[in-house]
Amino acid sequence: MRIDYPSQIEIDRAVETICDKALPRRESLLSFIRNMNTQLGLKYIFSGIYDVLLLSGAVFLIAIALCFKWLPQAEDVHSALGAALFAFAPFLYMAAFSLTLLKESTNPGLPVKMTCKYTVYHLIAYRMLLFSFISGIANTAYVLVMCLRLDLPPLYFICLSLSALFLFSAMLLLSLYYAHSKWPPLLLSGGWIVVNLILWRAFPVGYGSFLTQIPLFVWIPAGAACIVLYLYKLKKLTTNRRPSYAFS
Amino acid sequence: MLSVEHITKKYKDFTVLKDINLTFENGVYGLIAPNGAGKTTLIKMIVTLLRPTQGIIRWDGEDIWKLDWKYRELVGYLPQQFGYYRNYSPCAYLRYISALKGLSRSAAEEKIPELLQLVSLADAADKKMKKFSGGMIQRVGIAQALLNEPKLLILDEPTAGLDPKERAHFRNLLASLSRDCTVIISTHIVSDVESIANQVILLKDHRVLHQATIGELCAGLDGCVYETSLEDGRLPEFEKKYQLLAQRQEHGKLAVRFIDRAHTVPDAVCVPPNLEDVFLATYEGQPS
Repeated sequence: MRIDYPSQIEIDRAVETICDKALPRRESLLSFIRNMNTQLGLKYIFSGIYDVLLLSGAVFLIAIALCFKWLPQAEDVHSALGAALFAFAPFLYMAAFSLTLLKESTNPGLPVKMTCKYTVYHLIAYRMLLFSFISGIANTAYVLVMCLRLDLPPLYFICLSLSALFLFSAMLLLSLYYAHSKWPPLLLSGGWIVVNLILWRAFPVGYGSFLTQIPLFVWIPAGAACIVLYLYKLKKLTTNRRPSYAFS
Repeated sequence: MLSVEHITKKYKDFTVLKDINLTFENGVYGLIAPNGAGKTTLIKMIVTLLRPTQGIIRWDGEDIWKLDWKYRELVGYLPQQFGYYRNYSPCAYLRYISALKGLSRSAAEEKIPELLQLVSLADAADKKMKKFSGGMIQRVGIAQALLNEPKLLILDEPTAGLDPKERAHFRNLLASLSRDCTVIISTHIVSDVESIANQVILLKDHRVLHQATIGELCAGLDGCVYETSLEDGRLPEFEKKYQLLAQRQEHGKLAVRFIDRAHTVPDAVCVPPNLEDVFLATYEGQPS
């Protein structure tokens, strides 16, 4: 009597079903990251967007170089740095996210990817987390260098920069979470820079002064609240509890 | 079992699908309708690419949106326009998709060569897809849909670009898979489903017109399909009176196949209706 041996896929599926029924699990953000790393690996998570990442990095470095050149010449260096950091803190994150969102949404392979176990939302969530982490480090580094160069308090400006980064990240995530198309997140990205530049141009000293008069004990909890909201919603982005569908 | 319950899809003022109710068990189902009838919209809702405006779709009694990735793990989908990665080989592409589908590396390494053999691409496994013909690309698409041994296989116009031999091979493959799987094929090519479909679904005016076996659908035209020969020049007048299904030149005359419910053409021979006749009779006057 010949008995057909099940395939590896059937075995994996059966084991998963049994474990799921016996030990139903709520996936935390950490386990999500771990599973993505194990299952996909960085090679597949960032597949097809290396050009976008290089472009974002290059544009970011150009922006930093311009700031390095221009800021020391500002009338009020303290206010100017505050305004520049608030406007441009999310820049690397914004550029990387927006370009990858555009690339994914116009990718001809999108329908197939959206019907897999790990959809484009999973890839975007992972990338957003990594982009925000790298942006935070990059921002901290250039703020330190700028503050040393301009003889300004680095801790304050690091907190301002990180708070701006995570305020933007949380807003971007919410727009993607609730948007029914890709345009609200993209418009938010452009809008952040444009609105800040308009305010800065309209109130060259006043805008920066306003930002730098906000005390540290406001920036720190505001930034922390944005980080918590960001991490909480990031995991929900990958589930179908998300009310929107930006890739239809 | 997949059940589609009271599904409606609206875009602002336009209703694409109204109150669709369908059930699917293991077997092959053909979804046939002209362009713009809502086939692709329905399929997109089944594979969770679109949310319905109203209604619910269930897999084994549970809402597919609540099942989330547990449902997607069971689905294999080939879209109408299968987008591929030009600089990937079929092997590399299938590895990528198998990772996204959550297959373990060992499962993927076992499955990929088998699938490439099945779709006759074993010899081109490591060649870049930018050099492939349309038919070869389509076969890669079929292979990726089968990667995760789906319980629900949805194919939107799957035989586009395939030659007749490949189509026949593909039909045989689907017939063998359908024992343990629900296969839904959306197609204009009636012959793709005629020989293998357990049931055919016809959509008309944004609703389900019929969900029935081919025999049951054809029974509606029993005794109404005829063939006859016409002299040159008689065709325009003939077309005004009868719905023409097919025509061909034969021995200097025009052999026509047509519908005549009252048997008013004396020399005409009554022939058994086929699914194509049913399609043409159902969608008379609609764009193909």
